[in-house]
Amino acid sequence: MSNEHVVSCEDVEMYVLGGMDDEDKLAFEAHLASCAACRSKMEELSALFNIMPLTVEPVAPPSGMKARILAAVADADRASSREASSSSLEEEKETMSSEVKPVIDMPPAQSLSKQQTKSWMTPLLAGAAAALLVVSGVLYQQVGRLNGDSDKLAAQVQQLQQQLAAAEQPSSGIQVNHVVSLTPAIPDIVAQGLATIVMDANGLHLIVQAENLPKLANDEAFQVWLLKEGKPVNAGTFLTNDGTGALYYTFKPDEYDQIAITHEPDAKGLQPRGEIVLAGKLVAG
Amino acid sequence: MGESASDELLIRLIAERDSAALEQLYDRYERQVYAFVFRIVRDAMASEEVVQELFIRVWNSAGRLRTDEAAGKISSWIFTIARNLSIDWLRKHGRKPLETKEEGALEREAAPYSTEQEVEHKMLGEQMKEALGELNEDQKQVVELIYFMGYTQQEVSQRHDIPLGTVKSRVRLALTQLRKKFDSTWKEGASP
Repeated sequence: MSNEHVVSCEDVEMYVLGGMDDEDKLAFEAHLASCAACRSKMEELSALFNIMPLTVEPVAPPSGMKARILAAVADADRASSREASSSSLEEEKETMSSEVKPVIDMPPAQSLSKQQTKSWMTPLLAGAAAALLVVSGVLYQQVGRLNGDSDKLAAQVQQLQQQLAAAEQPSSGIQVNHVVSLTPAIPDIVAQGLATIVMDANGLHLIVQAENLPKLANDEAFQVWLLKEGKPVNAGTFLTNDGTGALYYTFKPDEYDQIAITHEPDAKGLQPRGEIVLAGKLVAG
Repeated sequence: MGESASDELLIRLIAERDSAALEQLYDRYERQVYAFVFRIVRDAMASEEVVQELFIRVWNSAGRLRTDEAAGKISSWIFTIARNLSIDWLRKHGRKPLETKEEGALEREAAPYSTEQEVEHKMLGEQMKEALGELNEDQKQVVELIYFMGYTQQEVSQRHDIPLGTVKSRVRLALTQLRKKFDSTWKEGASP
């Protein structure tokens, strides 16, 4: 024979005996469909082979096998109908079924490993398996929800990271608009400061650095004001360390013409109350 | 549903989810099926596992079985599933060496054969055993390797270094001889 999978009328015995691999079987079944002689021979031989199982030596089944098996059939039935009824959860069905299978398979394994266990244990285990099935379904849904939450959080984190990256990347596209020297507004103080205004895609950034500022007492603080046509807007508060302090503030472009630092009794003022210690012009002219 | 409900009726009831019918079918086949499966897998726990899977299949597939066409064939359907599941088990877990088989142990379990069907099955089984005993050793070997151990013809050829054509012809001769032996039995009307 040139090819192992070529079948003919001579193979009917091998087919009935069960000695064909899947390919041979398929090939022979195709042949069978078109060969009446083989079909008739096969029916005869099959009838003969129905007797084969009756030739084996009788062996007494393990005690309690009937109860275990009938309970397992009932469990498998319940499990499969539960699986079918959960078909409304279309998405979950596929994932569930792969998870569910080991649970369905459990009762046989358990009942087998405990041959001596009384038969009432089987329904108990079946109940436990069924409960486990329900719990695993609920857990699966919860995990699904948590995954959803986690996705949202991940999106938020990503958004924050983008913001952070943007904030941390003034170096790209940064442009120093101008540097303003802040000079004492009153003659008897030696304070000096520098206001640097930089611009990037996020707007204008004011960096105020000052030194030799008067010592702060109690709740006193320095406040930075941006002024447009004399109207001040609070640009933040800073405290000093050995007379030196700094502040960072972001604002919209071209809104202010002056900057001033005042010495305030506290950090809560909405309007300047104390004296101006340093001041500078933001726009030329 | 009386004690004498036919296999076909039981299968139809099982298809309608009648668990009492399943129990009746189970009672009818438990011993034969268990002994048959045990003969193949040769392990008590594995045998119970296989028989359990078999009855789950019967329960789930009864609805797809056409009992009008399958008249008298329920038992062969059950034994075919039993053999397939047993051989699946062997392929998954490995076979015990052929030599460990207890050949010729004729002592029988002291089991009562209550129903007419069981008595008839017992007689047919005895006859078939006798016919198998008359096969030559080569023919017995291929029947054992293929039918009870689940090897394919190619596997038998490779493992036992027998040309595939020889494996085929031994199987053909074995089955032809068995059939001849039983021809007279069929004519006497004692069909399975």
